[in-house]
Order: sequence, then structure tokens, then C-alpha cells
Amino acid sequence: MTGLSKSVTIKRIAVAIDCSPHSRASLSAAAEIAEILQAELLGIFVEDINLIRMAELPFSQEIHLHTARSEPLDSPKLERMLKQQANEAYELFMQTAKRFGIPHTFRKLRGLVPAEVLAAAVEADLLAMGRSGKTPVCRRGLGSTARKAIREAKASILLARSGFRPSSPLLVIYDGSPAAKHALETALGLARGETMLHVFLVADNVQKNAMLREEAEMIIGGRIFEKEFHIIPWTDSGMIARCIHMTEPGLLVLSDSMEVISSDILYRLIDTTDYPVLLVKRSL
Amino acid sequence: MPTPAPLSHEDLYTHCNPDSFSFASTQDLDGRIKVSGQERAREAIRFGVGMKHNGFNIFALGPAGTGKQTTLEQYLRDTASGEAVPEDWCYVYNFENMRQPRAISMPAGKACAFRHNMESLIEGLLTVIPGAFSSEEYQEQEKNIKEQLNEKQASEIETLEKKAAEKNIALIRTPSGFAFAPVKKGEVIKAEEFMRLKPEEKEIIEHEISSLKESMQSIMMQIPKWQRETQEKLKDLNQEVAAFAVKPLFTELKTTYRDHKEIAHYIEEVEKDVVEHFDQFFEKEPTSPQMLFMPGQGKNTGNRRFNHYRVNVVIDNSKTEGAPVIYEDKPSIQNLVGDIEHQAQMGTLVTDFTLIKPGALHRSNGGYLLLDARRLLLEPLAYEALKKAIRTRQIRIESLAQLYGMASTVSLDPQPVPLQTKIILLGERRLYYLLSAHDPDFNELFKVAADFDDEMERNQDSHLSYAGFISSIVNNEKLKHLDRHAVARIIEYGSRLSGDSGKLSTHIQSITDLVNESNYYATENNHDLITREDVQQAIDARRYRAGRIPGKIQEAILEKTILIDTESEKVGQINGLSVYMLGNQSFGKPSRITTRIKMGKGEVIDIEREVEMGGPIHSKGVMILSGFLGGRFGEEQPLSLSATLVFEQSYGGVEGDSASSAELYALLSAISEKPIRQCYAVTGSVNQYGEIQAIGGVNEKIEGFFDLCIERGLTGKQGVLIPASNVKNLMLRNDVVEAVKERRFFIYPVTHIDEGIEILTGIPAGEKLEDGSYPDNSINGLAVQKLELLAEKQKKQSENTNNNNPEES
Repeated sequence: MTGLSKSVTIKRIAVAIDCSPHSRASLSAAAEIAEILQAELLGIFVEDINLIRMAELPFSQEIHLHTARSEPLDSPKLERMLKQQANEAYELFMQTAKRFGIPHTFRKLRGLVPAEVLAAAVEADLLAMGRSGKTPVCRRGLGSTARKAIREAKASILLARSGFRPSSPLLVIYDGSPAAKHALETALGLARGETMLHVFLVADNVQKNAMLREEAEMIIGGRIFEKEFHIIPWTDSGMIARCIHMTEPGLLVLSDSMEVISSDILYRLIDTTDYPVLLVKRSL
Repeated sequence: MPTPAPLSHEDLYTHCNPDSFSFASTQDLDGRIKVSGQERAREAIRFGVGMKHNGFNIFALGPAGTGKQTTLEQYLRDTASGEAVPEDWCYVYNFENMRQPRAISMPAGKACAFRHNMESLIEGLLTVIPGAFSSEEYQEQEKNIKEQLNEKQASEIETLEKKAAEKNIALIRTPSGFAFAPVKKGEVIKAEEFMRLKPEEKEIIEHEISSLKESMQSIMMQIPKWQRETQEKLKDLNQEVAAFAVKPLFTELKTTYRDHKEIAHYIEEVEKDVVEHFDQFFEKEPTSPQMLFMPGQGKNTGNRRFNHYRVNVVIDNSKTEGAPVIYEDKPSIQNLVGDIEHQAQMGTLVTDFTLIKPGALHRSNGGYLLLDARRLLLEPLAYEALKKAIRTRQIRIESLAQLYGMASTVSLDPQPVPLQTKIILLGERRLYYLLSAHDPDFNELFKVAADFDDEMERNQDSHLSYAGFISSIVNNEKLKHLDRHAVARIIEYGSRLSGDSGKLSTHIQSITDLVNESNYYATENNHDLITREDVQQAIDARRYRAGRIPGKIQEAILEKTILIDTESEKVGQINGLSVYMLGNQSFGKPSRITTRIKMGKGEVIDIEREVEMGGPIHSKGVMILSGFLGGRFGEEQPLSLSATLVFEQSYGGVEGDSASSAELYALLSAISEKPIRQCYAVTGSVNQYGEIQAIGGVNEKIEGFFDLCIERGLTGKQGVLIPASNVKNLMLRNDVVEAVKERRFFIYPVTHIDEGIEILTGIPAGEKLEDGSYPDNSINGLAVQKLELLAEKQKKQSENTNNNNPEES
């Protein structure tokens, strides 16, 4: 990476870890970014209070994932399992942080997972998490914590998935708004010289397209060698998702405050596309 | 009995007249070998080659170096050039049984094209299959099938979640599964709060959760089934896509080989396998060091992933003309029946059908295979493998390790290839007779014996054959040509080599060596052509190089360390002649034979035999002497003598009967007390009637004595007595011939002992008179007198002994 521009300041990156494949990917991505920005990495593991409460109920039964067999779940057993999971998360976090040589802190919390993650993220400039956690196997789209985070978190959000690499092609949706410019700047900050950059210019006419392209060219300057501009005359999530699918990006860099694309469309887009996303919040 | 006249110099050497040749030098000859004098062997070869039935293989027997291989190769090449070119053979993967690679034959020159076509097919598949599976249409279909599964699962669980949510119950992920719990405002209710609920409410919640749990379990039980169904759908889709993508490539190939049933069937199998295992064409090429540094692998073989579809051409006859004629220099089992090689990969040995290597039997299939019998027998299990191949009429590749039972790992058992090769073994006669006597299979499998003679008649035809052969040596080895005088000298050498002036040696190796050596001297002498002088120089140089030991012996004789008298006359002493063989060189040497007599019971004591230094033939020769003496002198009275015979200064043992005539002369001299002239040396065996019989090495023996006389100076009296029947063997050195011509050295052809004794003593042997006596002054007469004297003395001695010991009598 060539380094983020001065306007993009990230000093602390929080990463939610539940040992799922997606959260492992987000931990690696967060550590890589932290190394470049010399930011501190904050690892968060939340012991789900709902689980603890459930175990205290007299009739609680656990259905095993691979055998469909059920058996009683009591508090000591659950505590033991949570402790084991926390240790695993800690080990994973420490190994990653040491590998990248970055300052780090690990925090084990207990409470409602989305609330605790968001609370911890208040202290951070970027919150990294998996697109979905250890929720039921077949969940489509975003997990409950990710869903809550993109709507409510103040910090920018990095939603990674397994197989994600920061050096993959980047895609930015640019509508000329200050927030979109911010997103483009952030993407440039993440890009290496050889990284491919796709820019979707949201324009419904030729003049606007030319204008947006000129603006984007100016922002990009000579910071990147390979770039492609695509004209997107649509603003609905379905069409945009189809266009995104055609370019096969490694990471979508989006702003939550674009003028042409509403927040709801944006959230739907993030929910439906299965690509890693960096959602740049206005506050960043 | 009249004594024979000494031989004329013309009897000593049979010249080859260069003027009898129509050519000036070997350059005028065509360089082809015209085999002469091997008619019997040639006829056997012609018969053996012509007989196509099983077992009519040929064993060419004869001494080493007699040109068996050259003759056979030339004959076979002439014959094979007019025969059909055999088929190509290749091995391919056997999709039904991978341990038994299939052998496929096809017309000559087609196997390489087939291999190339299969390589091209692989290249094509590597492009076509990934292309088909990366198409948007396929991706979409694949995604749809996967999505269907996900959606089905998600839909079932979401429905259940919703159903639960309606009853304020949440589905929660636990560390190792799922659980249901009652919730209030998104949070699971606390235990205390639950306990405060009315029993009916608690019961309802518990009942609902129990019901939901069962539903959840029911869904989870169905998930593997859905996954299987999805996999089946994906497999069907994949095979459909793969089959469609590869069809054009296979159609093209099938069209090419539609007339070849086996190949067409193989291509069908390949197509089926490719469609079934289409995913192998997605993988990247392996880059492990083992794969990179495999020796002997070209571009196409470096990647072994697609070996199943490759073709291992074991026999390519695209450049063969006629039937193949192969000589296998090292007939090990691997070189004969082929081998299955292995490669080390990750510490283990692996193999496949592409590592099958053909053997000489494969290469010569449809033609002729020549093998050296001795080398074949020296190679472990090779002879047995060859016999098995001939007997079963097929080539089955079996590794040595498997045959010995040393390797128990799973290996290949390639389909055998039908064998249609004429096998020709080359070996010495002893080997042939040993195999014939001790190996019951041998006579069944090698029914034709081509017996090569080691000599041939010497006549104008054979002279020309020799010249042709010399010409072929010159052409093959790129030597200087020989003028006809040099050719004549080599023919004379060939005659000397055979030990018979009327024969020529067929020991081609010796002649080849002499031509090579003559070429060396011709070069040194700046001759454009090899001349008679160059050949003579080569012969002399060869004799000189091998002359260390004869020289040492000569030196010892001259210094009188070894006592050999060539001037005086001695009673009971004679110069015998013996031949020594050292490597491939032989030389003659005189030996002093002495005899002493005393009173005795008529026995001749062979001292050599007494000390076990005499061989059985020598002992037999000495015993024949007793028979002769008994027959000649023992009819009227007992032989009252005891004679001792010895080879003086002999420390290495004596064998052969060629000195028996010399021993008899010494005995007669000792008995008759008449001295023998030491200027003569004698060779020849004798029978009980006193007839002189032929011996071997006559030339070397004469030359051995001549060399000693030359050193001491020829006196004009010296000479050698040889059996008259050996005169035809004389091919003496030029210096001997010249000395005889100048009457400074004599060679007497003797037929009977009585002739020889007269030459040696100057006294006639004496013919038996009517009254049974011999003339007084003859050797026989003197011998009788001496024997009578001894008998009288013995009689008196006996009487005295009896008188002195009356009780004992």
C-alpha cells in the first residue's frame, strides 16, 4: 500500500473475533492495514449474555450441529466452552498481531454481542468484522451484528469474508459527493501501485459522466497505474449489484453518505452482494 | 630301412602367388565378405532362417573370433532387407485394470503419430475444459444449484425462526450447535424471571421449545440428503458441460482411427474418463522439485498428471527398412524382455505405464535377434526369460526384483506382446554341447545348429574370399588398402595360423588385428598402400612383443643354466621339442630328455609320472614305449632291464605324447650304448609298432630349435626330425626356409623309429633276420646283446642269491 492520504486518519482498529472463518479474514485484513498505518489493533471477544442466560434456564437443550442430537446445556458446561472459545480467539489475535508487529490490546467482554461490539468500536476509527458470525449455518446476507454495525456505528466498517486479500482489485462507487470523494481517497490509500481500481461513475448523462470522470482522474492523479471507469446510469441495488458481480472486485469501498444513492439502497446492496466491503463513514 | 632325405625348402612353406589375383589392391574389390569354407554353417543358417515354425531357432557354434557374428549379420541383413517392416507397438493406460497396461499394435510409423495426436488432445482439453467451466452460463447454473441448497436450508430455518419469534422464542448459536430460548425485547429472559412465571406459562414455553427443537432436528436431519442431491445435480451438470466441451476433439480423433478397432475403443475410454475426471484439467501444474528435476523428461513428460491419456511408444519402426536385425551386446533380462522403471517421489518409488522400456525382443520383433550365449548365461535369469519368451511366443515384462521376490510392492503387469523373432545364439562348441546335454528345453527351442569351422580349405576361391574379407576390414575400419603382395602375405599368415599349409584359418579376429597392425606400420613407413613388408613388420613386431619369455629361456640355454647340447654325441640323451602356450602366443623350446638303464624287470619308469608332474597322455606315451620294447626284444627272452626316463630341468610338468619318439630314441641309445648326435632335435609320437605319428605345433617346435642353433651358430649339421605326416603342416619362417635352402639346417620327415635312429646315431636300426636275430652292428643287434648280457647277469645274481639263502628258496 502507498499509505492513506492525510485526510484519512486511522489510529485504532477494532476487530471483532468469534473464530468464524469470516472473522479470521477480517482480523488478517485489519492487522495488515494497522501495520501500514502504524495503528493500534484492538481485539474484541464478546461472551454472549443470551447464551449464558439460556444455559441458566432449567430446560435448555443444545442441538448438535453435525449429529442433530440434543442434550442438556448447563451453565458450567457453557462457561467452559466460552472460556475455550475466548482462549482460541486470544491466541489467534496474539499470533496475528505479533506476526505484523503492531501494538495491540485484547479485550474480553460479556453482554449482548452487537451492543458490546459497537460500544468497543466507539474508541476505534475502524471496526473490522466478518460479514456473518457463528450464526445459524445457512444465514444469507449479513449477520445481525454486522447489520447493526453498518447502521449504527460511528466508525468506518470493514466487512471481510474468508478468502479476502487487501491487494485484490478495488471498486469505488463515485457520484461526485464529498462522501464519495472521501471513499475514493480511502480506496487510493489502500491501493498498491499495481492494484486494479474500478470506479463506477453514477451518471445518467454524458456531461455528468465526463465531469465525474474528470474529478475522479484528478483525485487519483498518478497514484495508481491500472484503473477502469464504468458508467452506471442506475441507482437501484439490484442493477448495481449485477455490475459489481461483472467486475469481480476484491473489496468494495463505499461511502454511507452519497448523494445519489440512499443509505437504504446502500445497506441493501451491502446485504445482497457477497463481496468484502469497506464502508467509509462520514466521521472518518 | 632307408633313411628319408631331408626336406627341400619348397616343402617348408606354401606361398600364395600374388600374380594369381586379378586385382592390384583391395581398393579394386567391393568390400563385401564372400564367405567361403563355411558351407555347412551357411546351409544351416539358410535352413534356420527359412523355417518359420516354433523352435527352429539357431545356435551358431564355433571358436571365438571365427566371424560367426559377421557372417550371420551380413546374411541376415541381406535376407531381412526384402522382408516386411514389422508393426509399431505402444503401451496405453488400461482403464479397466490399471495394473495391466494395454499393448496396442499398429502399422509401422503410425505409433508416433498416435502419440502426437494424444498429446495434442491433452493440450486441447487443457484449453477447452477450463474454458467451458469458466463461462458465465456454467457459473450461473452452478451458482443456482448451490443457491438452491442454501435457500432451501435458509428458508427452512428462517421459517422455523419466524415461527419461534412469533412465540417470543429465539434460535441461538451455541459453541457447538443450536438452542432455543424464550426472549423478551431481544434478550433471553433471565432464569429468575422465568421462575417467576406461572407454571402454565412455563409449561407452554417448554412445550413450544421442545416442539421447535424437534422441528430443528428434523431440518438438520435432512441437510445431508439435500447436500447429496445438490452434489448429484452439480455432477450431472459438470459432466454434461464437460461432455459437450470435449466432444469435437474426440470426434476428430475417432474419425482418424475409425478403422483401428483397438485404438477406437481406447479413445472411447479416454473420452469417458476425461468427462468423469474433468476437474483435473483445472489444476495448476505441480512445481515440486521432484517433478522439476526428473531426468530425461521433455516438455510433455514433465507434467505427469495426464499420463493416463499419453501413449508410450515402445517400438517405432517409422525409419526401419525391412525386418530388424538386432545384436544385443548385454543380454540382461531387462535388456531382453524390457523393464518397468521407477521414479523416486517423496521418498517412494512410483511407476506407471509410461516408464515401460522395451527390450531387444521388442526391438527385434518380426525380425532377428543375435545374442552371445556365454553373456546370456552369465546374466541372472536372462536365459530362462528368453526361453520362456520363445516357448510362450510372447514378451512378458517381469522385473528382476519381482522374479526374485524382493519387491512385494504393487507394480505393473503389462500385457504381453506376441513374439515373432528368430533368435540366434552365438557361442563356443563346448557351450552348445553342454546346453544340449544338460538343458532339456534347449534342443526343443534351438533346433538348428550352425557349426562354424575354424579353418577352411586353401585354394584359389578361398584366397579370393580372404582378399574380399580383408577389403571389408579396410572399408569398415577406414584403413589403408593392401596391395596384392600384402594380401598374399596375410593369406600365408592365415595358413600358418591354421597350422596347415593346405588350410586357412577362419579366425577373423586375428586377421583383423593383423590388418590393423599392418596399417599402423604402413602409416609409419609413409606407404600409400599396405605392402608385404608392412605385414611382415607387423608379424615380426608381434613376435617381438610376445618374445620376453622365449627370450629368457633362450638366454638361460645360451648361458648353460638350462643344459641343451647342440654339438656333441651322447648315449641315452636327446633333444626333445615342446610347445608353450602363453595367452594367444605359442613358441617352441628344446628340452633335454635322458634315460638310464639298469637291471630290472622290463619296466620303463617315467620319472615325471612318479612325481606327478606328467600328464596322462605323456604317461600313456611312455607306457607305449614298454610295449614297443617288449614287442621288439622280449619275444625270445625276458627284458631284464629297468629304464628311467626324464625331462631334465622341467619344473612345470609335462603333458602330451609328442616326445614319445624322442624318448624311444634315447632308450634305444641307452640300451645299445650308441650315442645320439645332439645336433638334432626330435618331435613326434610313436605307437607300439614304432611308427611315427603326427603331432601339433610342428612349426613352433622347429623354429624354437632353429632359434637356438642360430644363436650358437649354424654348423651345417643341425636339424629336426619330424613325423612325415606333419609335412603338410609346415609353414615355417622365412629364415628357417632360407637356412634349409642353403643346406645349413635340415628337416627330416620320419615315418618309423628305425629311420630316425639311423639318422640320429649314424648306425642302421637293423632289420630282423630270418632266425629272429638282428645284425650284430645294428642298433637292434647291439640292444639285443645288451639285453642278453643283462639277463645273464640277472640270472647269475639270482642263482647267487638262492645259494646264499637256501632256506628262503
